[in-house]
Amino acid sequence: MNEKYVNSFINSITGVFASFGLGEIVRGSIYKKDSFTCRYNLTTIISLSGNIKGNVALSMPYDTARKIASVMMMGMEVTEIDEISVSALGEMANMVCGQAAIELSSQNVSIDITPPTIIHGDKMKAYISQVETIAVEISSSLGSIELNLGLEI
Amino acid sequence: MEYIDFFKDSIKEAFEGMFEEIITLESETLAPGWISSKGVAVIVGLTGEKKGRVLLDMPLNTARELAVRLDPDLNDEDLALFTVAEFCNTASGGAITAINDKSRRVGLRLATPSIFTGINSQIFSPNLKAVLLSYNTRLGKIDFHIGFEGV
Repeated sequence: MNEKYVNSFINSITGVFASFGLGEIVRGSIYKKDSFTCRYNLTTIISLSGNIKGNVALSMPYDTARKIASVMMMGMEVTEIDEISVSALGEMANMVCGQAAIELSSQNVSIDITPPTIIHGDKMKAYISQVETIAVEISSSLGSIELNLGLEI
Repeated sequence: MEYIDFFKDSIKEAFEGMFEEIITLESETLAPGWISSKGVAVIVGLTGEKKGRVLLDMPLNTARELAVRLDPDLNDEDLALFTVAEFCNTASGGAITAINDKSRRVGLRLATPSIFTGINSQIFSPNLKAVLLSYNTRLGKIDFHIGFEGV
């Protein structure tokens, strides 16, 4: 997978976190997966169409999800994963993919994004591409996030 | 929902064409906000003038049984998941082709399917208005949740 696609999404997460005053994120290891067994319980997924097709999944533990939702909701306490908090997480995923789409469009790569879907549960396993998935571990002040890119280019 | 009949036609045609089994629409209702997955969920995103998604949900055992209909020797869970993802992709593709043929302005496009399995999985898509099509088949119950933004 072309590095520019991976970097666009990492830059976008950095930008979205910065816009909420959450400080820097730290990019950890990058690795390929045939599928991904979700290390974390909650995943947001947005699909892409256009010059590149595929899916972008942000996977995170419940604790990180609650903290991100709280920040998205202007500091409101979030104690459970309900419709309001997952809507906030969906908006965060939307902002990440939207900003990546803008960055890629400046490189003449046109993509359109779908509305987000959020899925959570136990022992989750996912296929977001039948080709390969690139996973990037990201550390932030709110906890760990795994960025998964399943792009068919 | 404006486009639901296109999906109903395409789901029936795709299912009966792929698996040579009868599929019967049991009910058509407004979809709930939260979906408690039966075990396997396939999501196919839709972009274009309208944005949305098709979500296919069924028990893992039904996915396995459907895959065996295509290959009696098949005993691989991942291939069963890919089989039902292909079914969802085919059904969604047939519907959007018919919609686009009727109205070029809509210009719907499909994204690649994503597949999720898990225990006690809960699924939510904010800001979508969705219809739940519940189907009966000899191999188990199958649900399609078809949603668009702002419909």
